[in-house]
Amino acid sequence: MKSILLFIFFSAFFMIPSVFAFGEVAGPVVFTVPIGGNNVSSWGISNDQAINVKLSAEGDAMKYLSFPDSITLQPNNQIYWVNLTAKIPSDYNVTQGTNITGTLSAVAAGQPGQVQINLRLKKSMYILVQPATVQESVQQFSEPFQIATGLFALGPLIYLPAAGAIVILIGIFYFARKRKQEVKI
Amino acid sequence: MVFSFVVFSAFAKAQTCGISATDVSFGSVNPGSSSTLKDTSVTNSGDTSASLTISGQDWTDGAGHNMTFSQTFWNTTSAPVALTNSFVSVDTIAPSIPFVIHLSVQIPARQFAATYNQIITLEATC
Repeated sequence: MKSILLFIFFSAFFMIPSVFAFGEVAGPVVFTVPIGGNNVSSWGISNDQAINVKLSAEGDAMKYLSFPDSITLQPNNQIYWVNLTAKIPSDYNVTQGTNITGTLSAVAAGQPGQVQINLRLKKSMYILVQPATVQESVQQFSEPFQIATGLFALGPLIYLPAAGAIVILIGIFYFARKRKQEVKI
Repeated sequence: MVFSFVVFSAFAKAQTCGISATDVSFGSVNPGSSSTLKDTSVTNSGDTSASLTISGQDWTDGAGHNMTFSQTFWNTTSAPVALTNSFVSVDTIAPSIPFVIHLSVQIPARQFAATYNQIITLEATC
């Protein structure tokens, strides 16, 4: 009967679990960039299986940023570090602000079906604009001391405890060996 | 102790947050009626909390017939709210604890009978 017209949806009657475990490294992405210079940073993304992910940016920082349109993530939650480059033109007017903000997004398309659930990761980013007068010194140190997310955010400091422990271990072995030699004598 | 200290330092890893979600299907729904509640279970697959937001697009049959995104409703513990096409906050989700979002769809009485699909996006930030 026309009056009892069924509103038919395409239906997948089985609940298919989404296979994604789509993740990102915590913390904002921060660049320190001199006027007329550039700097690099990275954004860590992972997934439990290989998928193609589309990347985009929003906000004022977008026009100063370059990054790939899409990436292919490797399986087993291996972190893919997306290379990001921020470039501030030499004619940048500091009255526009020295803290340029924006967001990055990564979208993984869900399983096609009646309701497709896409998963999206969002990341805050900041470009801290340095005056042109300190450009040279900043450029020299920007590469090794770049501020990024996750492990990189800690920089070389993370290796200090390990280095200290290795020194202690060497000391222990040295004195143990020396004592052993003394006992032999 | 020193050895474990060395191991801990060497394997310090970046904190992550992540998102996974189970699929949802409402099946067939008559015009002028609502579907039953269907759940999607969202899990933070990382090791630090994430802010979760939700948005959706219009229902479409691919042949020019549409139904607005706000015909879909969602809720967690409070009363159902209409889906929007801009991201709105859902909650903060802790790592590894499944978080359920209830979804339903309400079909207008004069809606053209067809096969419709919708895209819902769940967004995690940390």
